Amino acid sequence: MNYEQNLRRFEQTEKKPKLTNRLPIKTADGRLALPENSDEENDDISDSAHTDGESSVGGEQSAEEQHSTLEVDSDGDEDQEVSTRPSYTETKLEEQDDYVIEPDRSRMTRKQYIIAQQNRLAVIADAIMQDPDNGVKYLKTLHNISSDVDPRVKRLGLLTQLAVFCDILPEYRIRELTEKEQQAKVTKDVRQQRMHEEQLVHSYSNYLKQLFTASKQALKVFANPSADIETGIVAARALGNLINVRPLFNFRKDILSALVDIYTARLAVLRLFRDDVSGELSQNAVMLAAKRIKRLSYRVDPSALRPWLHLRLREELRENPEDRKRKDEEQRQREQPKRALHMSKKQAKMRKVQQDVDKSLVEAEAEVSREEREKWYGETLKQVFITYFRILKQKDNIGGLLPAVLEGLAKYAHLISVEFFVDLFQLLKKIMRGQHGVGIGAEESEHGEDLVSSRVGLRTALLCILSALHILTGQGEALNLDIKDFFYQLYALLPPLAARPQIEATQATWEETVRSESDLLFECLQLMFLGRTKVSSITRVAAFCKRIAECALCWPPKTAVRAIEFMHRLLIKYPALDRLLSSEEQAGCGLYLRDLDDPDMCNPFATCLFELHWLQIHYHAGVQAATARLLNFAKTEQKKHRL
Amino acid sequence: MGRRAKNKQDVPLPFELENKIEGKVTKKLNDRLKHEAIRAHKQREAALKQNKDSRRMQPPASPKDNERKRKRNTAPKPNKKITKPKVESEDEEEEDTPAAATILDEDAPVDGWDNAPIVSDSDGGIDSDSELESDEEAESADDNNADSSEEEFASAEDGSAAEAEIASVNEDSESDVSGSDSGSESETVTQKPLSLLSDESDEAESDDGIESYDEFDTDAEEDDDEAVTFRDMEKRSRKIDARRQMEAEMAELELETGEAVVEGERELFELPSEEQVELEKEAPLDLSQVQLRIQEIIRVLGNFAELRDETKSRNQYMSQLKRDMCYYYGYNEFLMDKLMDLFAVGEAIEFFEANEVARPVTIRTNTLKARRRDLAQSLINRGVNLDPIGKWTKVGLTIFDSQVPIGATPEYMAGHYMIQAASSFLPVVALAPQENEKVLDMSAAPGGKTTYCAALMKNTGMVVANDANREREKALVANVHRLGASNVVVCNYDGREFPKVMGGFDRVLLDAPCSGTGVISKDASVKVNKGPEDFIMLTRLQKELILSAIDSVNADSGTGGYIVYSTCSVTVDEDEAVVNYALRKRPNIKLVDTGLDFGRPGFTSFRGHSFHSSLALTRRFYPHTHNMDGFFVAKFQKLSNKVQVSEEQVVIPTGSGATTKQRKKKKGSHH
Amino acid sequence: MRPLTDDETKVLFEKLAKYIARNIIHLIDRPDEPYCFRLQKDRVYYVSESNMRRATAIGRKNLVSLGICFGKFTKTGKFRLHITALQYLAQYAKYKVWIKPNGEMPFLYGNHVVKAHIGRVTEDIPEHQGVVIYNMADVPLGFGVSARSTVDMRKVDPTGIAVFHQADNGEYLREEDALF
Repeated sequence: MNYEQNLRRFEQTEKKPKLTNRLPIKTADGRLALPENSDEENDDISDSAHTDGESSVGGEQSAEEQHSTLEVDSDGDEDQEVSTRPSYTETKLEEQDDYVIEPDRSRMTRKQYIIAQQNRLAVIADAIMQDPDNGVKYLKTLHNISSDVDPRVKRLGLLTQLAVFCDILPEYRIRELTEKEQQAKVTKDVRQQRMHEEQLVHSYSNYLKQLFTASKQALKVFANPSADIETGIVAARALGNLINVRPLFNFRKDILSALVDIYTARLAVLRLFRDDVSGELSQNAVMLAAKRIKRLSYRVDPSALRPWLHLRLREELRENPEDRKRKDEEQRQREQPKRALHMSKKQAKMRKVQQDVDKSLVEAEAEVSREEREKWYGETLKQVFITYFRILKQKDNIGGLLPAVLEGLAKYAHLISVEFFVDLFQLLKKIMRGQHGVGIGAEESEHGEDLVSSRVGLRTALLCILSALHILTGQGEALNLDIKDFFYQLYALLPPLAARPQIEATQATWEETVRSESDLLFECLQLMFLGRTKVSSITRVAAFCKRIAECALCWPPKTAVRAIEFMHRLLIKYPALDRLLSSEEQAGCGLYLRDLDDPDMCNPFATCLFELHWLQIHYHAGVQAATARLLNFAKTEQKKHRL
Repeated sequence: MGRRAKNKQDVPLPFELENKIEGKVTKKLNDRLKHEAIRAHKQREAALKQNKDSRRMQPPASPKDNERKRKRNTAPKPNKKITKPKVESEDEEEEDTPAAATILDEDAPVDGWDNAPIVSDSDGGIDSDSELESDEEAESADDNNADSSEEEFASAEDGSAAEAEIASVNEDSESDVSGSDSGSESETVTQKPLSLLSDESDEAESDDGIESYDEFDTDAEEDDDEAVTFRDMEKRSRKIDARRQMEAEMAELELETGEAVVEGERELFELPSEEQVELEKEAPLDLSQVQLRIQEIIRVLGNFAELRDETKSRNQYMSQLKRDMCYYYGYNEFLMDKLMDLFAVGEAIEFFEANEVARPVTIRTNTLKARRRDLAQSLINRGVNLDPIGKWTKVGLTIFDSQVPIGATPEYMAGHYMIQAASSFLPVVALAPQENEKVLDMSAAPGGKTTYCAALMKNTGMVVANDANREREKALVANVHRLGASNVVVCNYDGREFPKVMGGFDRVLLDAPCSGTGVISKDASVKVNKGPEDFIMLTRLQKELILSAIDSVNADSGTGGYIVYSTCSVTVDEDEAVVNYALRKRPNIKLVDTGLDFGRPGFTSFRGHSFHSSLALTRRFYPHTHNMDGFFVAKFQKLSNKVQVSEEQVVIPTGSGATTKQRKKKKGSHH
Repeated sequence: MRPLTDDETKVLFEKLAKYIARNIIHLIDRPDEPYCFRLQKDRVYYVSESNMRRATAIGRKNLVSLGICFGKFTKTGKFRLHITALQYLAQYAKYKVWIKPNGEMPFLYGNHVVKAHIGRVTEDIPEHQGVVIYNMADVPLGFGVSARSTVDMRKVDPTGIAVFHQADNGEYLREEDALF
């Protein structure tokens, strides 16, 4: 076969000649056209199904497109096929009532059946959406469809229901009618509305049950290999969507619990956390998650903990300046002696009215008060940290979770109370050194003097250091904690980091970009040396500066530029470092111990930063420019000294 | 110094005036009285002058004054306090003079003033000039030497104060700020037995008065004018004209000859006769007199052909000069001879003057522990006024003044610096020890050079610090430890025992024990206690030491093979002669450039001895030219470990420490 | 000059360990050159091995000092550290105390360090432990023994002694004779 000669055709555009037994017909336009037929036996029904299907293709399309993002890919092909159907004609709603009837499965091929069901779904969905009050009865139909045996149909049904519910569910929570209310006499409208609501809720709960069962079944995939995972996934996603779109509706706790059980709907949870104003939901979610994780003995995917990073703990628990202003004002008002401002009666009345108005305004705005927020978020925080600590204390099999935990700690460390700091420090130190793991007894930890242990990853170590630093820069300044060990650790980490080509690799997942090791490193350095407090020993700073210069020679350009800029800032902040820039006036004796992993003892002032000259001829222009700036600065500084 | 002068009570008024004046004698009163005295003087002088006018012209004194001033200004600054007591004494003088002629006689010096009348007058004149100049110099000296430390002045102070006291009694020829001296001087002179000099000196004085302090003179003249009648007016104006003409002529002459011509005293200076000399030897002299005489003789010797006294030989002038200088500066004759041989006469004076003043205190930063920049900053923060010594050193700092004792700051105790004379840096800079070398410092105490070597070597290699004096070794060890020089081994041998003890060094520094003529400013006893036997002993020791030093060096060392010989003495016996001896005795060495770009080259010939031409590579330093102690530095390079004493004999100097490398290496010289 | 016997070495190292603990190894095992301790007339000297070997040529009576003297053995066999060892103690010190500028001079005169003069300390200094004392410019001034542990120090009033004086830089001037 001549490969080149043979034209290749797209599958889509391939028009299979359709063999038909029928004679051509004349369409309304007067054109002759071959009647289209399916490859199935039963043309009539299928034809009619088709023509009607066309009419509702539009509706279907929209429904489909709504969850195109959520669809499993396997659905995609068929959807496309359907949606590329050329034309559709408008039909009226009444005609579609016919298709509430179940298509007969036995008489169709699977494909036909699916399409038929799709059509039905589309029609019903359309109907409901167009007239929500009346259409609630059709929800039941949807429900039935969704309980179909065919998994695909089931999925479609679930998705349709999702779309529908998303549209028709009200924002508020429909509560149960009390006895009194039920007996009260109401107008027709109200009664009708109540009925609708009841039905709505009822069908919703059914739907939810469906989702739950589906997802639970999927979870049992280990026990039951034949379980329908995809349906479960779809169901989970549906749940996630629901909670996002209508977070305040009924059953949300149940939804949450289910979600949490699955905990694969990360995106949903993330959004939840982000948008959560009152904090109650977050708290619920977190608590449930915590319990679940505990139940599973912490054998969870690290991504389970990732959403927690998006909790609004930081902002919420930090005092807002506006809140503080308000607080101060309130306090001031209370403390102020009630000066008897003589107000006329009119004025007093006005004031009272004004106050009432204000109050109702506040209610209307539904602002969540600060206290409530604090309460919820405090709870959340507690849960989060309990989990973290439990994870940390786990000695076995913590590998995967550790980075996530550490990142969380790094982010929220400043919220921990002071008593925990010392323990936390100890723990972090142990982890850093790789002494915290399976089968490491007391004796080994003594011998494990190597600061850089192969047991612990670079990332983990960096995160440990970062967490420790965050803790310190927040409230830890009250304690005179000596983070000498962390300095030593970071110093010892620099050479391996220099040899690490993937230092700038950031893991870009769909939820967030995980910080690269380069970022972590420079954040650590920033906190260590460029913070508010000056580092006590200039020898240490010099040792770091020298090592960073060495590493900058090996690093990829971006990191190298950052390194040079960091050194520049160091030189500005610690003017005594200019000894490193001059090779002549060397005070002190002895050699620079390049390989010693101890910044205090390596005698950095016996050497000078000759790497800068190599960096000046770096292949990357950015590096060259940064080095040139640094050297310029150094020259001007030297000129200032006359001695 | 100034303290004394300030607290001094004003000299009480003479008897006559005291009775007249009631109440406190304030300065104002004193001045007024002075002024009145001046006026009276001028009147008398005018009267006298009229008599003299007919006799001779008044030679202008300007050129002479200028010359004197010039001469004096180049010499190092004398003590400023010399002037102040004299100021007091001036006041005293002025009080005395108006009283009566008798008092003037009382002014006559207690000592041999009458015995040497000739000299006194001119001395008076010279003195006045010198006082003038010294005043001016003192003023400028105040500006420059504001920060000399007190102790150094203490002893000098005593000497010069005594000097001043003596001088003050004699001063009747002071031309001072009051400017009336001319009057008093002339008065005095006329009272004394007249000599040929008197007229001149008198005129000279008056000229002095006119020349230097014109305003006062005009005042005086105006006063005179008032007193004088119209008849004298004409004569006075004629006199003035004549004077001016004379001045112009003298100026022309000066331009032609290029030398200050002082007509007035040319022929008038006479050496004292032998009897006078004998007498002078026993009795204490007037120091100002002596100084004047010195100046005079120098001037004469400067233009010997014209200014000499025909009867006297140059030698006589010279010997008188030496005698005077010994007396004035306090040296013994032997040393004076030696030192005078080194310099031209004018420079000799500068040298001696420089020896009277202490050199500024200098410190050396210990680069093992601190940088000069940081050290300077921390000392400045303690209130020390300092500056780098010069471009030739990166570790030296001069201390001008300090609120805290320099030898007791926390930085000193931490070993960041060492108090060391600037001249002591030089041999080590010349030696330039490198890292990982073996260096020997043969005469190391108190350890400044040793620790500098260790600092330059950055505590690598080895420095053997040897000193023969056990007592001084304590200071050496203390300094070594304080400054943190961990590569120093201290031992106590006679230097001549090297290289038997240890040899094969890369570099050797020999700062030989010497007579100390370069550090007279630190230790004035050198002036008197050095005699010929000391020199003989010292030079012999130095010669032996330098040979030992040369033999201790390993010529085959890759980086070294250098010997530095240095002394803190300026005499040729100890410096060039020793170097020349070494060059003769050890043909396997040669002199190389010291690496010091300032300093005078050594002598290649001296008083009939001629030295090896390469002696020009050695360096001499003097206190008056370089503002550091007198010093001599010579740097040798050893070319081969074998010494060819004669063509047949090949002597290999023994050295137990000679490395095997040396033996294995082939013959012949490297480098 | 002779090397130290085992007992003497033990005593010496114990004393040093009070100040520099495990870093004694850095004293011996230096990257540039190995150093050693030698005894000459009851004084212990710290000197590089090559220098020590060369110095064997110097007679016993003539040898005055080798390298840096760390201290001397007393008649009873105890070892006393001298101020001259400060350079090395400061380099490898485990526990450090920084004193304020107004406390510098009293310490240099030989007094004990009071709590009021203390600027900073390294954490968790146990009681009666050797500490090296610096001034705020990180210049070592001397060494001493801590009076109390860091925790206890918080309870003491400001005039209480924090560090007992053992040796200070002022001894170079005050006790020149005793040292050498």
